[in-house]
Amino acid sequence: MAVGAVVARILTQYSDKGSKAASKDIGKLGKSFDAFAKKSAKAFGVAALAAAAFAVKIGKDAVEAAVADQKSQALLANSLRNTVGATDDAIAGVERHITALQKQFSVADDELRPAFGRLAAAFNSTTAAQEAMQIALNVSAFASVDLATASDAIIKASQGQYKAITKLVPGIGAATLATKDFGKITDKVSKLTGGAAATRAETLEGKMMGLKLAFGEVMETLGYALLPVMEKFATLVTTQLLPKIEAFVALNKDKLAAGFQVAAEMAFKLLTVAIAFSDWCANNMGIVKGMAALIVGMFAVGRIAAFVTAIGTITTAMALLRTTAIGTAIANAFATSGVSIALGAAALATVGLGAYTLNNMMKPEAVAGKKGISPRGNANNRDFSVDPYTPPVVKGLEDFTTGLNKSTKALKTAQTMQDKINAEAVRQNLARQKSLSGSTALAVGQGGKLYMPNSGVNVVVNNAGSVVSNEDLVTSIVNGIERTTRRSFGTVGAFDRL
Amino acid sequence: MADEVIVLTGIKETLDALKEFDKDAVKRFNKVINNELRGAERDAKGLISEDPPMSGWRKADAAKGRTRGGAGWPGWNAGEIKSKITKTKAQGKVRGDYTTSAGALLNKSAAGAIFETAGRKTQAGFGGGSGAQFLRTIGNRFGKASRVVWRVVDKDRARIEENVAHALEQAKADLQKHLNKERA
Repeated sequence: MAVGAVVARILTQYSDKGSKAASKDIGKLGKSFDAFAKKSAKAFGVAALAAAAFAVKIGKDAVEAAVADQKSQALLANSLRNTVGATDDAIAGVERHITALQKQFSVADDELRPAFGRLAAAFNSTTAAQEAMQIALNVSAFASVDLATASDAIIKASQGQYKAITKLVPGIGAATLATKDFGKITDKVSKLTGGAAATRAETLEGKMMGLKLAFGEVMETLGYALLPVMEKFATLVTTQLLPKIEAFVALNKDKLAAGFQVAAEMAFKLLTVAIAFSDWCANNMGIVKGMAALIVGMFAVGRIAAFVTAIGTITTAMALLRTTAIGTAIANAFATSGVSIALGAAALATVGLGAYTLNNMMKPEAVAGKKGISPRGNANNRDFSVDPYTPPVVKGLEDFTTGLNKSTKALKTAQTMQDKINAEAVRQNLARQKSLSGSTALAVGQGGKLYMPNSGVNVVVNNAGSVVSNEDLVTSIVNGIERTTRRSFGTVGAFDRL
Repeated sequence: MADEVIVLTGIKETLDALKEFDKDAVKRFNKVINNELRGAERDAKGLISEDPPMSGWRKADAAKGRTRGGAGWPGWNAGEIKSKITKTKAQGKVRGDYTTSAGALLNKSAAGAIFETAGRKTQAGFGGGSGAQFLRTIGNRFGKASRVVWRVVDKDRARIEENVAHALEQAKADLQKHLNKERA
């Protein structure tokens, strides 16, 4: 389609070209999501563990708070029943009142309930107790003392003891106290301390306390939800799990005891051996290093094991040569295997190192001055016996070496015999030449020149052309002799005289 | 420009498969598309007048270009503009909505493109300058942007799509018939 043109599409068709790419991208995205999921699963797993731990902590605190709250409620309810004969409805009303006070003045219900219980007991009325509780809260906030102290001071005041209340609220005045009218005194106290609890609740400290109490309430609520579960769990453990464990232990106590004893003994032995072995290693570090070198050498030898097998084949071949042929054939074979021999020597050296190390280890006298192998570091007590190590490759190399030596010896023998044969041949040739001396001797040289011994007839063969056969050579010689005889004797046929 | 388009599916696949059984059916389908595109092309070319749309629009290209990035203002050559209004069935770039063109009109000349699109982005009266009067005049005389190929497409798209879709359905039916016969 033209570039830069105004394009007005009339027909539009679907193309999966982009969708394939998109599908691919989505696939990649899916993989990325999978990877992310795995990673995040790990991360979230950690977080989940932490959250679970935190949840356990929360649960524990919640249950504890609920238990404490339940205990506090139960005590107050019991106290109210005993002191004022409160009904369940009255108790529930008191609880609602305490909850309201807690929210209003940011004072914990655990603190309110005991104080309310004492006030109710002192005034023999939940209604009077509620009024006194209001005063006590203000006194507590006014004097910055806990609610129990304030409520006790009020109770004492109601009993004619004013020292505590005057100490907490100094401005009551002697005249008011002199009236010994608890109503007037509490009115004066209320006038002096009125609004103190509400004011304290509005301060930062009060709000923080309110927050803490609210959280505590949440925890208690959660704890109350968990309590049935905990009770069920405790029941399960008590009624089912523990009896079964007890029954199992009762049935298997002897076996368990024996098993623990055996395990303890084994652990002790293992520990003893481990300590002894480490002690031995420390005392025989040279041998430990030798073992390490041997292990490394064995790996190297393992690599050339195949080559050594080939060496064995060569050894066999050379042994055959030694028994069947003598001379240059052996020498050539020997020469061509020079490289292999060098490699064999390297293998021998490697194995030799291992063998040397092994021998050192196996011979106590070779490591004189050092301790032998003993789990307890005792040279005379060889609990760790080790069989001599003779790897197959060593035997192969030994065979190779033996064969090589024999072949070399055979070669020398062959050379000696060849020398003897050659010497004998030379001797016999000289003897023959000596027997031929005094007669015409023939020798063929280049250029037709023939140099003969000093005695006898000198024959020069004119064979400047190429000699193609023995017959030609013989014909040439005969013709030459005939010419010589013609010149010497002047007649043909003198050759027959020779 | 029309806001809604009908996306045809399976044109290529249908025609490729149908080609194996009934080449005449393929020809019939192509004939429908070609006829529709040819008609649209003819209509678009008919919107190009021999005289320039405005008196000041010279018929020859600017001798020394100073506008349009140095290319200069293109002359109004009706023959060139018409010749460069063409139809195409080539597949263009696949858009993000996985659609591409199965048939389109092209307005490839510079003068034709200006006449087609002038004022689409820059509204007359905004920005001032020498272009404002041009945009006002061309807008007053020939209407808003989309004055050539897009005008034709906007006018005839529904009919063309309907005809082509019908032809495609016919081609699919032909293919199905052949496939059924093959299966039998």
